[in-house]
Amino acid sequence: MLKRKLQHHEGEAAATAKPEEMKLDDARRVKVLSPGMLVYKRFIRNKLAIAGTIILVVMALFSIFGPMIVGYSQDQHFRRPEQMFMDWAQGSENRNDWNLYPADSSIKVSDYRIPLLNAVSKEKKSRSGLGADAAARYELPNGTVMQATDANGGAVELRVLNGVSNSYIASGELLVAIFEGEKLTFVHDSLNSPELIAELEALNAEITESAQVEISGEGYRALITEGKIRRLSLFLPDQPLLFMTLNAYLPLGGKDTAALAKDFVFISLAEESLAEYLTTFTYEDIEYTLDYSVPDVNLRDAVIGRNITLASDGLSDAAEEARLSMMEDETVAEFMYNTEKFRLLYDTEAERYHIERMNGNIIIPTTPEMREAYTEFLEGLEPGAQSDVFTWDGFEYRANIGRSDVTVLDAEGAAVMHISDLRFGALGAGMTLPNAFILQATEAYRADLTGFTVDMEAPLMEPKETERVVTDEFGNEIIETTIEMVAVLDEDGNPIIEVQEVEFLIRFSNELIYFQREETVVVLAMRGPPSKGHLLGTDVNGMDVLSRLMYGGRVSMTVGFAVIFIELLIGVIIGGIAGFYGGWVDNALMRFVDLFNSIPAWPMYIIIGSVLDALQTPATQRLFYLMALLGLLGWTGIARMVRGQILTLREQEFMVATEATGIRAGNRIFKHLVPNVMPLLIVSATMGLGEIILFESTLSFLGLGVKYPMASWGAMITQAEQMYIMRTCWFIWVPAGCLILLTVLGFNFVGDGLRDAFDPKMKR
Amino acid sequence: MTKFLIRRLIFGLIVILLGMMVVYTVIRSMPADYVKGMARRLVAGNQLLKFEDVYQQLLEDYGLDKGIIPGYAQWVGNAVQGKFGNSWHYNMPVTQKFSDVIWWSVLMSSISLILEVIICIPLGILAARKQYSKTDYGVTIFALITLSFPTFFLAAILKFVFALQLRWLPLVYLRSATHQFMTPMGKVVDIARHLIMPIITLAFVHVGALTRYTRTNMLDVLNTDYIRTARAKGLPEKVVINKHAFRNTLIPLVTYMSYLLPAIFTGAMITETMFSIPGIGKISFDAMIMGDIPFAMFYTLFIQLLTQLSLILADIMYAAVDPRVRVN
Amino acid sequence: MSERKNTRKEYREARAENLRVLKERVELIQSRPAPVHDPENVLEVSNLVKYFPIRVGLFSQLGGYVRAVDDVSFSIKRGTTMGLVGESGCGKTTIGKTTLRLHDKTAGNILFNGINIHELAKEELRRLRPKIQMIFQDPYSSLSPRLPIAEIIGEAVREHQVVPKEEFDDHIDYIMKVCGLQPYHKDRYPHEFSGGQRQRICIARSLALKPEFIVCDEPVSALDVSIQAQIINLLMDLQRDFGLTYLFISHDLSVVQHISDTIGVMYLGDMVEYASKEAIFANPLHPYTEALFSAIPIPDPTIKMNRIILEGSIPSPANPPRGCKFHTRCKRCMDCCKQDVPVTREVEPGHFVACHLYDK
Repeated sequence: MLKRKLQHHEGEAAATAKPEEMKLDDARRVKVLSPGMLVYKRFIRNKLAIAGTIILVVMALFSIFGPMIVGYSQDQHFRRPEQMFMDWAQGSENRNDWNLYPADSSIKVSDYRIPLLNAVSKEKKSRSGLGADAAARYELPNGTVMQATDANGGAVELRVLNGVSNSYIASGELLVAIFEGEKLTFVHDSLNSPELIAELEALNAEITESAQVEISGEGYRALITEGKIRRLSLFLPDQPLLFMTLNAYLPLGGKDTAALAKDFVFISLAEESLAEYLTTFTYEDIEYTLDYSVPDVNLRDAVIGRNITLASDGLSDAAEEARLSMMEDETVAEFMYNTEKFRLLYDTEAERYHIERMNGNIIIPTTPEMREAYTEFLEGLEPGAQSDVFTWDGFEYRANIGRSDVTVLDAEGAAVMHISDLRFGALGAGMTLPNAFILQATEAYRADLTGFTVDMEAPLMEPKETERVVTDEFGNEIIETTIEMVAVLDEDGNPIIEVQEVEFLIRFSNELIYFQREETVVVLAMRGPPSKGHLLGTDVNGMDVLSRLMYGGRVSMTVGFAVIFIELLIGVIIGGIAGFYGGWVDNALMRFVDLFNSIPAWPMYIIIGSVLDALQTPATQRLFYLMALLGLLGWTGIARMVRGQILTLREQEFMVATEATGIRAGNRIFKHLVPNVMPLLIVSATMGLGEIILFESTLSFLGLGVKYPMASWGAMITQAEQMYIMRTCWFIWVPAGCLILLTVLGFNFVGDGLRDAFDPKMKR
Repeated sequence: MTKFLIRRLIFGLIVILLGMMVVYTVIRSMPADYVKGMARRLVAGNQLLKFEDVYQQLLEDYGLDKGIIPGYAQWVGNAVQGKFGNSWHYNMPVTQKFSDVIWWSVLMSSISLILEVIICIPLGILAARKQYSKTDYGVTIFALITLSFPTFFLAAILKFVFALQLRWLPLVYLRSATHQFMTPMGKVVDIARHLIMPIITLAFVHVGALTRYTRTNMLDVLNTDYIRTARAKGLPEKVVINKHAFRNTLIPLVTYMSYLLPAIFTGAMITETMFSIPGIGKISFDAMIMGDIPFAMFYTLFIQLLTQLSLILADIMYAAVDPRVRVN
Repeated sequence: MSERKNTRKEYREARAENLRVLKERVELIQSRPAPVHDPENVLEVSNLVKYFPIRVGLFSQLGGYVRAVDDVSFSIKRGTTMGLVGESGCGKTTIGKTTLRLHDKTAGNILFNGINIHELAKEELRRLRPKIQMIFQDPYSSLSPRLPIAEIIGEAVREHQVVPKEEFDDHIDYIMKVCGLQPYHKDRYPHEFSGGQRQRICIARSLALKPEFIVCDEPVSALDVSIQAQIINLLMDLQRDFGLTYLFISHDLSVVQHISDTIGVMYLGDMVEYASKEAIFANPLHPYTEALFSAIPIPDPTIKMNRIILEGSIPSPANPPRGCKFHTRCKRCMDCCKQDVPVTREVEPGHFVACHLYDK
């Protein structure tokens, strides 16, 4: 108001004054510069200060407007489709392949094998009432108590409870006969007796309702459906001990063969033929061929005293590498092959190496020549032979020839059924394993391969961007784009199924064999390198680094300004009052300041940080606490400075003059005192901002400050503590650190420049 | 003078007591329940002890069964007698653990301090002598950059460049894996190699402040009349700087550095954590995070004592130099 | 050890004694009746005492007093100038500030136009301020650095509404012109002016409030000699034109000689001599006055100066000598001077001196 009036007067004066030219040395020509302008001019001349200002402006724009340009939200997770091998099916191997050891030498083993086999088939078990939970106990005449429990895959597991051996024993039920219509067909001829037949037929005629009946006397049990005895079985309580194994019957082809696999007449016929190394058998007027693959030979090493296998080429090579890296006197070396750990052992006595698997199996490393010789040996095996000897390099291996994987072919040569020792289970709920897979898997496993491909039918999937609605911690709904694998549909809307060549891996874990399938899985796009969508890549949680940098900038600036504001508020008030009123007020307030100073800063940050951790406060609340804490522990410096400055200024004569001219206290403070404290305050505040940002980033780095999911530059560098990240993913942590450095540097440059600009003692 | 000292000491003690009380209050509210775990451990080995009794006993021993003020009073009472209890996190007496680890920190900090002095003072003097020249500019920028560098970032960069990429220096820890197989000389070299990066990190961050301080002081001194006189007398510039100017900067410089005394002992928590050096900074950080009350209290007390001591030392030196201060 | 204890005990006793004595003195002075106001006088100072407490020891106990002003009395007639001279630290500035109540008095009375300044309420005092103004010594720090001149001069005018709003600008212009400032100076800031100009601004600031009485606290000491002359002449012109009364404090005797009507000489808080200018220069009675005046340089090289050189240095005002405070340096010291405090007597009409030489 005053200024305008003055100018108005000046203008008037000029208008009424005589229009005269001003001389060159007229003092009116001197340009007027207010103290503020002077500071500004000095500031501008300082190159560092300008650099600092530019840095800060860039940072501010980056942080505030950046996210709007890039468009990602602070905690948006990104996903990408990746080809990964996922566990798909598991298999387990059986022991004691086809070895039968009768307890009583007088027993002819082969007589009992089939019925026992039948007896443990699935259908039988369900009819005999041995359900999943049931555990039947059975005591043999020699005192051995057996317990039968239902093992998975439809088998029955029998155990000796009070004996020493752990063996499989067939259950004590024997299928005797099957009724087909009126006709009685005996499963096993050896039990065929006229009396039994007559009795059973009579029984069959009498029965009217469905039931499961126990016919007392001889221990028969009959299953009656539709008023007819369908099956008849015999209890055999005095069966000698027989060890048996269970085989996997895999129906190949279509529905017909599936029924075949459950038909144990067919199976038993096949088994019999297998046992005698026949190549054909006839069932229901169809001639079936048994196709024997390479016989499953169990090699037994006399030196080691255990069954061994020969290593594949790949495994032998790996073992050779390990052997070369062994030191002179070392006898053990560990190495990895195809994600499995093996040990190479050197037998000093026998002077040869062998490989040991995690599950204890021994493998002998081979040479190509040795494998060739072995293949020849295998091909030269006599069908029906049970053992042979394979020699190589002076070592003798006893070959026990077990039953190999057998494929049953029908008259046209189409594969009907596959019999193997490897049992498979699907790992997905409701999943069925394709036959092609099981075949290939068995072959690959036998050949000690680690990977194989199978042509399978599968729906064609493609990655598709979908939008999800996610609520963030404020309750806002954010639309997040993510990727999902969806089936490709044809024009009718049905998913397209095609035969794809799918790659599988064999992986061993404990005693199970895991078959992994290469699948396209949508995973968090963790640690992705810089790309078009993510200029600085993604971090360990799958979030865009560049966006997080921008949000982190916002957080840092917010914290900085908020804390400085708190510090200034408290500091100026307390310092101002202390300085202005002096006396006991000053004393009391300064003691208060000292009290706050005496609180050790770092222990407080750590302790309160841990407390907040334990209380699990949400991230935004933590931010407030952090700002409050930083402000509360940091205002003392400003208070001291303000007080000191006021004390100095108070004694200056112009302040005395204001009192002498009778200016009111309020005006004295705000018009005279405050504008002269401002310079120092501004400089302190600017440098303080830099310090606070450093502090906040250090606290966040230690995990005490801003926490996930909020972004903070310091927290982003924490990820670099892992060696892997530090080495390969520089884009995650290096930019964050550089930004901290630049921002603090900017504040320091500006603060320094301001200090020089305000300081009238500058020479220039 | 003695009166001044006594007043200062009493005041310092009050400050320490109050500060420790604040820390104690906060740390008591930490929910990490170590005592229960300790009680369980003690009971597990001994059939005769009952968990409840042991737990109560521990609570009493550490004053945790009382309220905050009585508990603090108990701690003060014990502290005065020198009994600081056992560290919960480290299972040994607090003072013992402390003395085990503190010497590494002292070593690192002392060496870094010497390094700082060697670098900063000549730099500061150089910058002051050539004020407004490119050298001054460069030194100022350098000082400001080092001021603005976050410690942990520097440590990460050093690790990245020297340990991972160039493989000149070991990455972490104090000793190599094969340390015990080395010759005595080899052992020393091994430790030295491990300490190079931590010491550089420690020194780097303080270089800026010290350089600027030296420069400012030198500027003030160089503009005084007695320096002008010395020059006018025809003394060679070297003598002017080293003999006259430097000696007068030394005093405020040394007083400034006495503020750094606590830092030597408190260790650099971040540096030690980043390089996994078992110094007092890292150890006490771990203890405090886990709510180890005895250790945290002792450590905080130690810092406070040192801080007050360094303040008193600085005050004494100021008073010795500037008589006006004595009157206050 | 016991010796030290003894001396300490003695010291404390002496200190307590000292405090007691001073307290008695102050009470005695306070008990004196209030003076009667003479309408011709603008300022009447009677028995002014100003002691500053000294805090010692651990708990800032009272250790003694700095006796800045020790029972001083004088009065100034309207329209005249009283010069107050003395060495640095003799209490001149303190008197000036106490007159304005920038310090609170310890004892005594100060009447301004009959009003006892030190008994006014704060707000009343504030409203009285425009009448009593002060011009300060250091032109460089007595102006608010961030305000333009117009604001510096006009702030208090507005505050106290010295002139009505409409006349405000004209008033400022007028004052500035009178003080020798140009109108275009209004928007400028203090740092753009020379020392002499700044002092003019200070004068303008005080003058703008239409004061009756101005304390000039060494206003020209910081200026060049030629500028000094200008400012002194300005002050004298203003006194003539506006009817101002001055208390002119200075240690520069030649300046005081030029501007003053009456002169008071201060030594260590006491006013040792007071008389009209002519009387005191013609006939300095007090030995201190003599010595002072003998030192005034005469710009004539042919005249030989007969300087009286005082021995010793000025004692501390916290612990002045017993009896006559000047006796330690006085060439004509007598025995009684060491014991008794001299009483102020009117040796000639209007010529007062406090010296045992004139005890009759």
